[in-house]
Amino acid sequence: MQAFEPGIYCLRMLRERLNKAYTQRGVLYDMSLKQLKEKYAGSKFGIWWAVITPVILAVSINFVFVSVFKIGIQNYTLFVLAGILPWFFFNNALSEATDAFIVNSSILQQGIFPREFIPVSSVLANLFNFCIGLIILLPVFIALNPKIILLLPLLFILIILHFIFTLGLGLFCSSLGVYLRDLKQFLSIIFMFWFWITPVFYSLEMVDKRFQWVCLSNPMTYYINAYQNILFKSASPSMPQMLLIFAGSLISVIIGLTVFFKCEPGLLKRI
Amino acid sequence: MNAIEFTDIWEKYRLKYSINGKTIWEELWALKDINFSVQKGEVVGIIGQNGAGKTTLLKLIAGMLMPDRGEVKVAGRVSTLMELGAGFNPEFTGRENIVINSRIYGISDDEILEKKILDIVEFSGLGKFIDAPMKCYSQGMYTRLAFALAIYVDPDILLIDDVLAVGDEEAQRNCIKKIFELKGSGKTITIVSHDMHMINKLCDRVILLDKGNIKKTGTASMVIPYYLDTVGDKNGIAILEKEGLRVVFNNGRLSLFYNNDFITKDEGGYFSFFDNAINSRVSSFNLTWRIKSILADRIIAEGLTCEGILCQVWQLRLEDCCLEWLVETKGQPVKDPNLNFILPSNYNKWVSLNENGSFPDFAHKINWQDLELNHIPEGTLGVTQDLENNKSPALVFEVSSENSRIKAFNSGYEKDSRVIQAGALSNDFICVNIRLFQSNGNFNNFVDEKKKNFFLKQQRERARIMTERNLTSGALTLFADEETKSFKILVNNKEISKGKGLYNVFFTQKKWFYPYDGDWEIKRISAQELKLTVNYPSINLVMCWTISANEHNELNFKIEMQIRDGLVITNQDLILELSDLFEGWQSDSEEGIFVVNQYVNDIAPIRLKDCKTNRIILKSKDDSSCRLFFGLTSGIKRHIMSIFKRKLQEQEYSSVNYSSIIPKQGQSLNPGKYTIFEGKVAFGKDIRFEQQNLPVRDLSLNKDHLELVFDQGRARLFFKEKELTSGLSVFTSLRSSGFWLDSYQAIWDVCSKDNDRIVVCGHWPNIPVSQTWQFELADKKTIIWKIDMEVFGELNLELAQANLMLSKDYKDWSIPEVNSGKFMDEYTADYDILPFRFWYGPAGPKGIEARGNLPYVLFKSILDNESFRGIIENTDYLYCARLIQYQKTKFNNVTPAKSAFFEGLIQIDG
Repeated sequence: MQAFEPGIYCLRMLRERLNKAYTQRGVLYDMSLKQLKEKYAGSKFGIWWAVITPVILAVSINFVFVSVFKIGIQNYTLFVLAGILPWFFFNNALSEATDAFIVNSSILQQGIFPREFIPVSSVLANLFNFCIGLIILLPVFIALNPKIILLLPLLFILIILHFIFTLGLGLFCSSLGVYLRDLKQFLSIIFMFWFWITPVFYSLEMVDKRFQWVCLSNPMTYYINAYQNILFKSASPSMPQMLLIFAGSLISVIIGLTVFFKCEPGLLKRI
Repeated sequence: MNAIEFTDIWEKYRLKYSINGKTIWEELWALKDINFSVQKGEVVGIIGQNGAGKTTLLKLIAGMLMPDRGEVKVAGRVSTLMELGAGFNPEFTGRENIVINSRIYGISDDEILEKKILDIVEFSGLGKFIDAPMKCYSQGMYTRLAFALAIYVDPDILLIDDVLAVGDEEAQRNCIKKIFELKGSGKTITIVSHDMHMINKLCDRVILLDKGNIKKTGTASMVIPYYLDTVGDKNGIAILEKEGLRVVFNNGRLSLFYNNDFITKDEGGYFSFFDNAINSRVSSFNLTWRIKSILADRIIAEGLTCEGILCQVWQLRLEDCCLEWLVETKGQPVKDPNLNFILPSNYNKWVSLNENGSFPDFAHKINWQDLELNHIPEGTLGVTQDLENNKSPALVFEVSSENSRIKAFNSGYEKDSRVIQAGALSNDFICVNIRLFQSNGNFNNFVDEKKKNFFLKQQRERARIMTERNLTSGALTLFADEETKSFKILVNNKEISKGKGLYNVFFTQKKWFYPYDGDWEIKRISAQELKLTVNYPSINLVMCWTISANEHNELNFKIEMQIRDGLVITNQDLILELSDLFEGWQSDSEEGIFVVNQYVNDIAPIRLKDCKTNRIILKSKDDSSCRLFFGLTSGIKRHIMSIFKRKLQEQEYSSVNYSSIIPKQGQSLNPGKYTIFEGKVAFGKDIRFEQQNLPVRDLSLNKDHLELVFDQGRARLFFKEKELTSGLSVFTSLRSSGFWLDSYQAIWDVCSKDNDRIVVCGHWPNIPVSQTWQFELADKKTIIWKIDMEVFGELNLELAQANLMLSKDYKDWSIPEVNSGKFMDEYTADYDILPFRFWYGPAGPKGIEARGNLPYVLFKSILDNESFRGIIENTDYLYCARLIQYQKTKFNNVTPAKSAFFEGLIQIDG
């Protein structure tokens, strides 16, 4: 059994693997692309679903919360949209990553490539999905707040950090998912709950001070908040926030990789 | 340069068992201490039972599994054929799937991809379907595309996990061909399979896995037999081994190995029969088997049907390089059972005890082609191969020829093998001996030895038949030839008979029956006696010959006829056909030579003056070397002898014919046994006629100097010891439907006799007539001759005559007050042409007189003169005598009746 080797050996191994992954990055790219295409294979609207789904959801949330609850945010739809797109990315990426090994077991035997590609490609595919949706809707945001153009580089960094965060969690879930076959079901319930405690359709300020801790202990809050800052308020998120985000991503990816490497030999036998 | 390297590999699985709701985890070591390496360009086969760890091994090479212990090193790009179609999405078209998955499969460059796609499309043969969604592909198309993609990736290492069993035959063939191509271009291939034959053909090296351990590595010819052996712990497998020959019995299938090389191929040796119950053939390897007993040189195995009923028992015994294979069927009798033995096609020559030849080229695709070796003597067939590649040993198959036959086949060219088949004629068991010869020298010696024995046996058989069928007395031999169904006579072992030899023929039911028309059965009663039974089933008649030989060059024969239904037999002849060896002949009263003027329809009869005889002596050229006697021993003259010269294809030969006189009245026979002929054939230098006990003189009337002797249809007249008559003497003749019948040809019985009178009755053959004659010596110079004629059937009677044939010493004739003349001394050659007729006219009351060197004779018709005509003429050259005849031409409605025909008076005056 490949044990959890101490420090330096670990790093060396990591470097080796990163090297290998780099040389075969083409495979990763292809895999992700393939997964993306597969998602919409045979459907009529194809990639447009990346836009349609969040928009419709935003519109319906708008209807409920503006007409019924009379929420006091201007341009509520856009507010919701800003948060929903990354949320969908996060949600779907983790969902698909959980099942990644189980569904794609046959590809494993076809070529020698780093096995982590499988969950990574799931996350990456969803990233593409998210980015395409974002690009299509960006003009709308810009139309509202032309200053967003200046913040685009920051948006880019945020997206990358968010991706790394999701990646870590994805690796974690995909490894676990092989052992716990109903993890996917669990996740869907967790996400439901998680959605409510993430300020996507409400702003953090609206929360009662007594309960703000709930949202603040949710890591996704910071990411979504950052998105909302950039896209809706066209204000850059604060430095502490960015640092938190950075730390979060790092921790997530370290945990994810660790779990993955530890479980790798065993999970290969289980699929 | 190692393409694959396994060092100290251990691989473990954890299995979850759920039994009755309880969950138990167990660890299973799939691979233990595996160390091996594969060189670049090497083709390695991995064999073993299910669960030995083969797939696990492949997965480790493929990188699908990480070893629990040890290290796997793989150099080069790997492509696997394990689960075909990895990564294919049915929604996309074939082309899209290829493109999407190309990088995953390992095709890195975009340029190459274009060309590859073309290759893949061509190999898979999908044509325009390549652009249709894969969800509408058939399984075969899917397989072909998946295979094509995996192959055309151009891997350095190819891993194959028994997927070649998938898809239709053509796909399989293409795949195998392509794999061979890859082998040829130096790719490293690792293949897991259960098809020993393919492994043998393909792999340079074979690794045998058993329960996670490498049991043996080596060349295919070493490891595969070893594999078959180790699997022998299971039921239904047993092995015999002696001096390099290994016989493996594996659940109803025999495999033979010599020095670790395969001798048999594919199914090897098996037993097959036709089962009526399920209306198809059943092969022994489809039954369930158990080994009943196994010793060092013997195996007994029992085969059961799927219901568990014992249906076959095999007994295998291995002696020095000879396997005895006996199959016994039990229970229901089976139809068309045979043992089949499949051999590879390098055996291309066959040898039997009287012929040899080569196996022809393969003709059919699937069916077996019969070599049609239908006459294999002693059930022995050897197979061998050309001398150049003398790898496999020569084989000889032997079956017992009484109850089995042996055949040879080519299989279809797909299977590319030879089949030796032993079939059973009785249905109980088949036994075949298979002998193996390392060197062609030994093989040839064995076959030659067998040939010699076989020929000797044949010779002995022939000699035995010869002695059994030969009846010898001194120099004279009778040979009963069963083939031609005839009796041949040989003198000093040279045949003197010809054609049909000695035989009897009879006419009944409008047909002539010869001996070859019947069924022959020869029984040798003793050294001197032979019995032949000829059975004619169609008329329910059996002809029985009894022939015996004594020491004096004599063969006595007796022919008896047994009939079961009433039959009408009109003719009964005994015929001896002889070669041209004999020039002359001699009968009781005359002799002659076998010379004729002309043949009519290849037959020329030799005319006899006195044909009512039954003995003949035949004389060879110059009469010194041999004389043959052929005659009947019955006293009463009931036979007519005829002699013929015959021609057959320019060769002349003669025949002697004894015809029984069968009066028309006596033709119908009741069921019973009848002796037809009894006689003898003798040979020697001094053969003479023995005295026959014939009561000749009994039928004579005397008065003073006058004597009348009645001799079976003719009456001879003597005066003062001198015979006045000649030839047929006093006789009658009848003409009916164009042919003449004399009284001499009839059969005569004595009705009454006293001093002065004889009454005799004669029955004619062929015509329904009988005549009763009465001779009365009125005084010392007068004879009264009364003839009554009875017709007892339909008869077309044209002429009837009463004749007196006188010696040629009579010179003058006269009819008192009418005419007179001289008898010329000219006789016609042929009686059919009008003989020399001197006078004819109404029969006058005075009669006809003849005078000459003998006493005066008067012949007068007394009764019914008006209807008679008198004729005076010479006979032809045969008799050279004078004829005085009274002829009646008019017959009123000859209905069945008895009537007085003629009354005449003969007066002699010395």
